[in-house]
Amino acid sequence: MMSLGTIVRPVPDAGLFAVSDQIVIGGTHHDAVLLDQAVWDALGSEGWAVRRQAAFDASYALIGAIAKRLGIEGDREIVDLAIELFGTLGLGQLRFEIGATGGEVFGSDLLFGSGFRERYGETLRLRHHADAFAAGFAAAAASIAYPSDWGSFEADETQCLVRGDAGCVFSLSRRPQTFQPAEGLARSDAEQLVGPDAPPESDPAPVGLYTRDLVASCVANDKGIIRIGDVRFAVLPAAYRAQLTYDTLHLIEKRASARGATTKLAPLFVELAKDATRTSMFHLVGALYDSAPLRDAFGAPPTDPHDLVEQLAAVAGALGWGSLAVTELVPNERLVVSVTLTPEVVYYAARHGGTPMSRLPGLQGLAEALALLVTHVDFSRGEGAPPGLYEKLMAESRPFHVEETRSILSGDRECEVVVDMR
Amino acid sequence: MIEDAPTMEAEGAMVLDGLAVGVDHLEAIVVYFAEVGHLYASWKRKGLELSPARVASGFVGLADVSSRVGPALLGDAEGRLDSPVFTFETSRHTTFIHRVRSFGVAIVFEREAPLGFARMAARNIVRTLDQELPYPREPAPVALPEARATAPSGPPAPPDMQFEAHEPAPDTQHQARNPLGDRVRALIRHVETNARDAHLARARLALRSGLGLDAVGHPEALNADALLVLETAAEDILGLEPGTLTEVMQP
Repeated sequence: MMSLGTIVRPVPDAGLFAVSDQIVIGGTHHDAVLLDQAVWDALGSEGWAVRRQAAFDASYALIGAIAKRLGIEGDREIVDLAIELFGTLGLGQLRFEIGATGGEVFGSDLLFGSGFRERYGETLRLRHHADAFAAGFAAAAASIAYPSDWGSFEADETQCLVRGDAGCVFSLSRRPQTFQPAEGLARSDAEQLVGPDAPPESDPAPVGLYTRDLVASCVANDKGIIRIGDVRFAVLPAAYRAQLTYDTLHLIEKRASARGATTKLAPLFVELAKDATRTSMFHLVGALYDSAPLRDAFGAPPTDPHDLVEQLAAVAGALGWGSLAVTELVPNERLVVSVTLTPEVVYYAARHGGTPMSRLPGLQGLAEALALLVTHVDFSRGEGAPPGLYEKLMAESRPFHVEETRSILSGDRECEVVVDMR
Repeated sequence: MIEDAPTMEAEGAMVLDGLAVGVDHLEAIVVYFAEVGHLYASWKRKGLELSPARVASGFVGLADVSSRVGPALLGDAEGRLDSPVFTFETSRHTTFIHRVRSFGVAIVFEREAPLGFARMAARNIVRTLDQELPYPREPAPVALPEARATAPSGPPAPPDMQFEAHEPAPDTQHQARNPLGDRVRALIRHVETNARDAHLARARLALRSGLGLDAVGHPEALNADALLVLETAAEDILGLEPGTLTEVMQP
């Protein structure tokens, strides 16, 4: 496997990262499982179609962009590229047994399936389709490898680890439809939003730069697994997460509006989407910040909470969340985080335009995670966040109130989130 | 007269739009209570002049037909196990009627749809519905007192009119508690205690059931249908087999 740094590149002046021309973001098995779970809760069986379509669109754009840039043609070569890419990004292993008419794809150690087992153990089993990302990715790879005017491939999950099967198997068949190539989320979408007159991006803090190098040096093992501390780490196309979140949110809102329903389901979904990022970033940023290479390079963590939270924000920025700045911290009371661009801002602006509504659950969850880390984790002891601390905090503490006070989507020059910790 | 307007059940119980996405020639999906013919949920192509409620009531007798015809055609043992599919062809439509537990599922295609394709698409839809539709509740086991041998005895003792000190006197001033509300509260407690992400349990139940947080927080106003939906949601969250929540919640 290649190291992540071989294929992941920064997007200049945007504070984001891309593979080829597609924007990507670092995530964990927590995020993958919890967000998919939230979509399932919101949409039921329809959620499978929404998730799989988001995965197909994002993967098609990603694999297509790399194949085009490298001049890779030919069915076997494209399938090999997809397998290599999937493993390198830390998403697990895929094996294709397909031809122009379809076939089967076998998955093992997949981010969702294995991540679900890691979170919930072997006793909890799902009764429904589970790994939409692998299904959409496999179908996208096959559709590029065996193009046809007649239609693209669609993957059905026939076996899945979390349903109690021995492994994950996807059956691919052509779907007769007018096929529109997916757009994904390109770096040009971010560059357009920044604009030519934007001030140049300030240099990331040394901790942020070092973390960027540290992540770039990560190499997946032969099973396609990258581990950082206790979490399974992976790089995902940012379009997948964003399309999944907003398609679901819009479907809920549209239906509520059509029915004149008074039941407020959309805020519940936003809360669960926010929790997915909060859980993921609490564990991932905590593990990275407490990692031996970072401690060796920078020594003991600062005792001043202002310095500490700025360093934690720099670590999060190195995972693809943009150039985060901590504009205010009143310990145990208030944290204000601002950023110009995040992947979800770029996606929403490119696909849906502006909105006066609060639309950044990912940024809100990330700010909450930073607030929890700076308030409840004693990094000076060199132990980071002990196992079970997050669950204990969630069980015992009142959730923080988080408010999106400014957003580029509402016409502001940057996005700002305020976490009330009282 | 059966009302054609969407019923509460049709709109609230289940959204079928996702099942119809990308299925060529599909005209309508009608899910109904097989025994009584009441509509449970439906989807139909925009502009189609078809009344799901009439379809539901029209196919009501098919469950009985299947229980008679299955054994007659296939032999008693095999016929009782097999769940027959009815194909109903008219000049404009081909309709497949499946049975999923206590529900009938009518899947209506255009007459021009290739029969093999339509049959396969219908099976896929039914397979998904099989996971989604609620399971019937088994009646709660009734604890019968053990039979005791009768023996002649003295005169019956006077009824015990004394309340034990540790046993509070019945509250006659307040309204009686709604047992359904108590059941929902117990269900939420059970999920919060046993789910891996206890802090998400209430929000997940509210979202998954479609009832919202207010209803879950104030369950007194809920009816038995809502309880069924909540129990199904709880089973999904906890990864329990359908219909087993009652069993595992027993103290």
